[in-house]
Amino acid sequence: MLTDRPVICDYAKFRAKKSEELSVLLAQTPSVFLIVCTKCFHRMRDEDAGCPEVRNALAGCATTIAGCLEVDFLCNREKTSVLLATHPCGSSTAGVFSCGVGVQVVADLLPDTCVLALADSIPHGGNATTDVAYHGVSLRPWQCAACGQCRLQDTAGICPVVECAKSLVNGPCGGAKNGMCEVHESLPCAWERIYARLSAQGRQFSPPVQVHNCASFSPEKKASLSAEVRQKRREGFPGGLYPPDEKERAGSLSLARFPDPQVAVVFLSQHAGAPARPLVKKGDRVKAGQEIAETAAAISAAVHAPIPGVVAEISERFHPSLLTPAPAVIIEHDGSGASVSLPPMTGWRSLDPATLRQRVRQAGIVGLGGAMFPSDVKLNPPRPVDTLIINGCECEPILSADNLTMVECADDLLDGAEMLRHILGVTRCLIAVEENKPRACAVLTERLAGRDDISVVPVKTKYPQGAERMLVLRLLGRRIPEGKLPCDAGAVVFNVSTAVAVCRAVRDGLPLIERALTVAGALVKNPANLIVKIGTPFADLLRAHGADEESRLLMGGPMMGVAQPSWSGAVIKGTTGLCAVPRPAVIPSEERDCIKCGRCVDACPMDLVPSRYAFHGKRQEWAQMQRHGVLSCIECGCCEYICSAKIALVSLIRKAKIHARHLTAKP
Amino acid sequence: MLVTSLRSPDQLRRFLKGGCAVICGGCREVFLPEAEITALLAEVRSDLAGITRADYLCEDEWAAAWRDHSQPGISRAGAVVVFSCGVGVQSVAALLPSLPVIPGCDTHYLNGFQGLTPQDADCRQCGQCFLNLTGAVCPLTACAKGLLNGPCGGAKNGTCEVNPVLPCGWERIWKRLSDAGKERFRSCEPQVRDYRKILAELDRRKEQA
Repeated sequence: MLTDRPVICDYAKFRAKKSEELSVLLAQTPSVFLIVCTKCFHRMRDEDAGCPEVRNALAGCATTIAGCLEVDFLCNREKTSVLLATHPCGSSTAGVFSCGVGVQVVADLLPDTCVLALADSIPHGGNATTDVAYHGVSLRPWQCAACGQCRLQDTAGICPVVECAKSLVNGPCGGAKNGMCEVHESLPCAWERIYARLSAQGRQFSPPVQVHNCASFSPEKKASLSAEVRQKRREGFPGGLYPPDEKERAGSLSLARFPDPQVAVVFLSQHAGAPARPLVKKGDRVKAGQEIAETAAAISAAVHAPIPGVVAEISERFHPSLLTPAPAVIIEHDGSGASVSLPPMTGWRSLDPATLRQRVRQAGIVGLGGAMFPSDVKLNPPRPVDTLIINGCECEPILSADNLTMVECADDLLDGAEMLRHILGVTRCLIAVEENKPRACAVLTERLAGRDDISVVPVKTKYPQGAERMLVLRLLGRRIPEGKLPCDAGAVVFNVSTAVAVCRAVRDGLPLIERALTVAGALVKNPANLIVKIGTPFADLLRAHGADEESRLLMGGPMMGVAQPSWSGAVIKGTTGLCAVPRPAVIPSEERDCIKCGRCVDACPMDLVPSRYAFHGKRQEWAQMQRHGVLSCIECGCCEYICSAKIALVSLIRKAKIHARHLTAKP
Repeated sequence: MLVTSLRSPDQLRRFLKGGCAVICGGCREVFLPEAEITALLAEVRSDLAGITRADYLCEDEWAAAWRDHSQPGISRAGAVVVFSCGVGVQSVAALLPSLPVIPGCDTHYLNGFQGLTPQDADCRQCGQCFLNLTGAVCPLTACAKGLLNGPCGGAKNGTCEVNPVLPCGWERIWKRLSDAGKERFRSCEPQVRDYRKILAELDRRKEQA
């Protein structure tokens, strides 16, 4: 039975050739440059440096080692080519220590170098007669030979192609002895197992005679599928994913206004930077739009009362982004419609940028895409910029509030874009919209007909296209240097909702007290796109739209959203949506071990090696994570989404960043 | 690496009636015919005992979590139809020995290696790497016949007689080899593929386990 077969717990996929073999191989070579794949070789350990196994294997040879390049996943052609370009091979002979794919990749990238294979791949087939394929990413006892004509329905889920040493598909050969294969006595006869399981189910093996069709999948088809997958991965920017977008349900609905809450919970920290300083105290009467907390530092944002009423208290409430209690002003609605606003600036075109920027600050506007960085600071870039990018990608699945903002508030959006452009003093303005939002594209293109100062750029749908770095790269072909900001590449990026908020703050004098968001997900009965007052409790929104109490609640989208432990949060400026989705069967954990499948490396749009974070994070080696570039991570969540070992990579990365900042803050 | 395609819907409908479907999302975003599966399931929705989702069913720990999580649907079902690669079907079948477990997809082979991304290059994991003799072009995967000691002679204009789309692997090898490499190839013993290396691996793993 299967349980008698060993579970493969050895992750090695290749091993050094015997030293006699290596001596012969290297006899004619005075020096060799080592290229070592540090994955799939052994379990990950603290330092792979020097790979003692390779050096030991070469110890008996007279050949000198001209240098050593260690690569995580040599088989990942794109990343290997970058490394080989920056680390030139120091010899006319390269000795490659990897599986057969790695050797071929190196040989292809270094056509003029003699490439030697120093290792043999370890066979995982367990069967001599089939084309070896190892499907599924975990190293478990089940294999699939990818024959292209699955028979498992007739064979009780036991594959005869793989499990039978002779790959017989029409019944046993008759050569088994005591249930064991005649080819190899440690292999149980697959057909006996198939019969046993079928009879336990009261079934019989009775399909028509099976013929193995070796041509069921042509090499052309294989090659084109391979190429298609690679091309999609490289499209626009390297890495990224195509999660199902699930935007159909909410995306077709228009924006509706959600009623004012009875009680608003207005946090003093709804932005990056210093929390705002309260201007009101318990018992004060406030009007909607009145400033209730002022900026406390250069990087900070003012907070305004979203509803008219009385300040019931200023106390700590559960913050949906910080996930800890944080100070908030609690306002009870008084039923009146009292409101205040700032003086409208209808003639804004003639005002100087500094005045407009001051207005953006007064109105408490922050990046509404989720990052919540104070917009006035972003509007004062330390370096000259030449392009304003309005980000309408909304690449998160499920969310569609930005999409509808573009459709329904197109005029405000375009006015806002002009104001931002005026403040920044740039001429070029691009509005990036993903192709899965054809309505938004059409509306904006129609409004902009005949104008060449602002243009709509449809971009291919891919996650995380909406991240600033991916957007600047896709639109301008400029790479933002590591650890730098978009302005270092001459661009400033604003979310569409932020542009609308800027327009309303300048033209109408309205401070930021409401925002558009999506309430959706598989466990929401009536999904909606809503204009909601800041401070509205999540529970109000979720009950009104029939969210399931048992669901997993995310503030934001399913990829980058912050998982909420309860419904006790309230809308903040960065709440792009509330998604109630089914709880997954397996929750990612920080404790699990990496199985080195390499998918995170392939999916990471920032060219990082997230599997390193899984290893060092579990051991709390924060400095090592920093050494492997954790500060460049944009926390898009691609690695965690694709992780086959279900490791909570994003939370490990966030911890490492906190520790890294702590380390650098200390002298 | 793998790619899957939907099996004949007519056959699947028979099992989906009163059956429970599970869609494996592990490799979904590039390889699973998600749209076709969704359409098929929507069509037979009223007859289904349940539609469930899982990630990486190939990993038995996750497959067990899926089974516990989806118990209500599975307990009502007369069969489980698994939309995944062949590994997922087998791991589910091992967990549910008393239920017919039906593959929803056919699995096709893509070049690559053990769970990594698709590649141009391929490795047959023969356990006795021949690349040193063959200019780093693998004779097992590049030659349709897997010949180890030279071309079969059947190539026409540099393309394989088995499939004219394939370039002759041995012609590629010969072009790639340096003069010294050609000399080394000529002077070495004939290569013999040792299939025991594959089965011997079973023993090695068993010893370790």
